[in-house]
Amino acid sequence: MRMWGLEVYLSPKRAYGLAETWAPWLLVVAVIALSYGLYGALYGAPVDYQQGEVYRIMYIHVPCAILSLSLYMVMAVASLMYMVWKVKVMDALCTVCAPMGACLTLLTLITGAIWGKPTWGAFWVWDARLTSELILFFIYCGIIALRYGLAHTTHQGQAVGAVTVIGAINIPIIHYSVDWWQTLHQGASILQWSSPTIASAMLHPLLACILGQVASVAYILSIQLRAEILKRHQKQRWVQVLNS
Amino acid sequence: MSWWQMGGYGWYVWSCYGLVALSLASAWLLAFRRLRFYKRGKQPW
Repeated sequence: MRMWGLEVYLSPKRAYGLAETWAPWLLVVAVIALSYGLYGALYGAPVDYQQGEVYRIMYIHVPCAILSLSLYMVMAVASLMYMVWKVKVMDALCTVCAPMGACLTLLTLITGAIWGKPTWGAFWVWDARLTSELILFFIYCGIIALRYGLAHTTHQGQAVGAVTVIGAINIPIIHYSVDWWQTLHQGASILQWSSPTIASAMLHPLLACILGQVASVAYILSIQLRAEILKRHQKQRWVQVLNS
Repeated sequence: MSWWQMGGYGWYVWSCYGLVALSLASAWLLAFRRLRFYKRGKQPW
C-alpha cells in the first residue's frame, strides 16, 4: 500500500541518517533546557506555600509522567503504520520505545510514591490515576515480554503491534482519571483546555524541564534506533560499508 | 538550614533527582555501547 511518497523517508537507511543528523541537536536542546530548568527547579522557583520544598519533585515527576504516556502514543501510531503499510522502521521504533517507556513509567510511580509520603502520608494509595499508571507499566512489560517470547516467529511485529494499539485505550483513561473519578491525585495543571493554573515563576522551569527531558529521551532513543536498524539490516550493503 | 537540605525534605527531593539521573545515564550508556558494537559488526553481548 502506498504512503503518499513518505515511504522514501522511512527506509532503514534514511531513518538511520535522520537519527544520526538529529542526535547532536537533541543533545544541545537537552543541555540548554535542563540547565535552565534544573536551576529553577532546585533553586530559582519560589517555595510552595502549602507543600514547602518537597513540591520540587514535580519538576522531575511530571516530565517522566508526560513521557510515559507520549512514548506509548508514539508506539501505538508506529504500530499502526507497521501493520497497515509494513514500514519496518516503525517496528524497530516500537522495539526501542517499549523498554524506555516502561522505565519512565516506573520512574513516574517511584517519584510519585516518594512525593506522596510527605504530602499524603502514604507511599501508595489505590487512586484512579496511580492505578491506571500502574496498569500502563504492566502493559509495557507485557509488550516487551511478548516481543521476546515471539522473537523467532514471522508474525512477531503484527502481534506486538495489535496488542500495543489495543493497550492505547489506557492512555485517555490515565489522562482523564482525575476528572472521571474522585481522586487524591491533583487535577491537570498544564495539559488542559484553559490556561495553566501554576504561577509563571514555577511554570517556566517546569516547561524547561519537560523540554529538556523529552530531548534527552529522544537523544537516547535516536542512538537505540540506530543500533536496532544496524542489528536488523546487518547483511545489507550500506550497513557493511558503514562497518568497514 | 542549608539549601541542599530542602527544608527537611532533602532525602525525598534528592532521591528522586538521583534516581532519574542514574536511569537516564544508564540508558544512554547501554544505547551507546550497543551502537558501538553494531557499528563494528559485532554482537553487544
